[in-house]
Amino acid sequence: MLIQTPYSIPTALIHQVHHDDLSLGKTVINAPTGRFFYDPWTIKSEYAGTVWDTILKTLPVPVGEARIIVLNYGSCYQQHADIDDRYHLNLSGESCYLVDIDSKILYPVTADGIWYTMNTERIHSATNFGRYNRVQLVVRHLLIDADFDDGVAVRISFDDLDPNYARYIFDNSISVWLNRTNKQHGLKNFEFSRSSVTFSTRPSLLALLKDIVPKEFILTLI
Amino acid sequence: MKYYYNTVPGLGQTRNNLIYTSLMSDDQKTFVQWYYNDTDYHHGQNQIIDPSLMSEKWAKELMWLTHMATHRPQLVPEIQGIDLVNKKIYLKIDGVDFWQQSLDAGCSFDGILPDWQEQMLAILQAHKDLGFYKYSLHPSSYFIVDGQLKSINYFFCHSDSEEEVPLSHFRSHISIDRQHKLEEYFAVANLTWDSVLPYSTLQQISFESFRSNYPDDFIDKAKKIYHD
Repeated sequence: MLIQTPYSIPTALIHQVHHDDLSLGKTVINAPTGRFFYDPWTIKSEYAGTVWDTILKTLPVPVGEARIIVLNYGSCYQQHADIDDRYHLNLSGESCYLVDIDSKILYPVTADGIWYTMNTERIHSATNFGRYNRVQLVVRHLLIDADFDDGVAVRISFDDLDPNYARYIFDNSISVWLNRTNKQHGLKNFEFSRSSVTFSTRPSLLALLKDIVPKEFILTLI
Repeated sequence: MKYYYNTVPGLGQTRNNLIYTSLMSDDQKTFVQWYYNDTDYHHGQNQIIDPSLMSEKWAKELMWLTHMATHRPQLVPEIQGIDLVNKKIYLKIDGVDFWQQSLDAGCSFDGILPDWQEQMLAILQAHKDLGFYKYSLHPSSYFIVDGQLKSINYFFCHSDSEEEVPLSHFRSHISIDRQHKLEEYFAVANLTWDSVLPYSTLQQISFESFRSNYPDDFIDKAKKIYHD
């Protein structure tokens, strides 16, 4: 699930991160230049020239949204999959792990200065068993601009569901399919709103999608 | 899976790769890049004996091969599997590599794949468009599947965001013959193995070192891709 890339940052850069200035949760340091999931993001003006800008530039590929994520000590995330794989750079924390729930494997994360790429098609979580907050820079891979002409436009939506409840169900079922289908060049024009997602896919992939859409969601061909 | 060597007239069996161990299935449908320094395969002439350098090469291969497979899948062999524990990448191929096909047939690349130049230039253009440089350009770094040239060997790639290092950093994974070609070029360009150059310049030097493998007009077109 977690693979080391050849790219890293000098440890001196890690020491330049002032952890006290960081707030819990997620802070986005760059901004979209076009389509949220497809076009490269650029650093926000307030972060230009900062240590975060320097760190982000050590990734040699065009990237999507980059977030500083601070995970409180003694806490974890609900299990989920994501549509897009992620680059992870861990900057602080102790006894912190990424968890491949599908395989029941813990991956320790340390402030080793190494960028990792994470296959988020796997159902996963992150935990912080330690005393201190864990700080990571997490960067979205851009989705593939798939090239097919015979696409079927799809909307998946929900009614009358608590958004958090809906998100949990979505991320444990449909996100897995979305991630895999993107990698198979079978997805394009993905967009999301508060209660629905829309995209195009290849007709041959539609049957499987219909099979895995949970009963709480409505699949509509548009 | 068996060891895969190239068979060169006048030289006999030569290693297909200096870094990893090359394996191929009996039916020649699967090629395996095994990032293990197998002394039997390399006949004790192992080029990379530093485990950290081997790890770097493995990480590069994973990063850039999968990047190509994601964004330009038609230009690389289909990845059948990646064994992270044993550091093996399984690639779908169809017969021996491009160079070996030419050697076996005793003909030029044109006789094997008439539009090979256009295809190889498209691959080089993709590397540029995706923002990296690739220095492993030997004709054994390509396979042909369904008439399409497929590029392999992404362990020797760099990008402008990386810190520049002396040329000596790369010496261990350049063949002795190519080191001699480079040294001839160094003499003319007033360079040494201690020189530190931009990765874009290294790309041009790399192209120069392959003039004995490809026609001059092809090398000129390849160099132009990175000048445009």
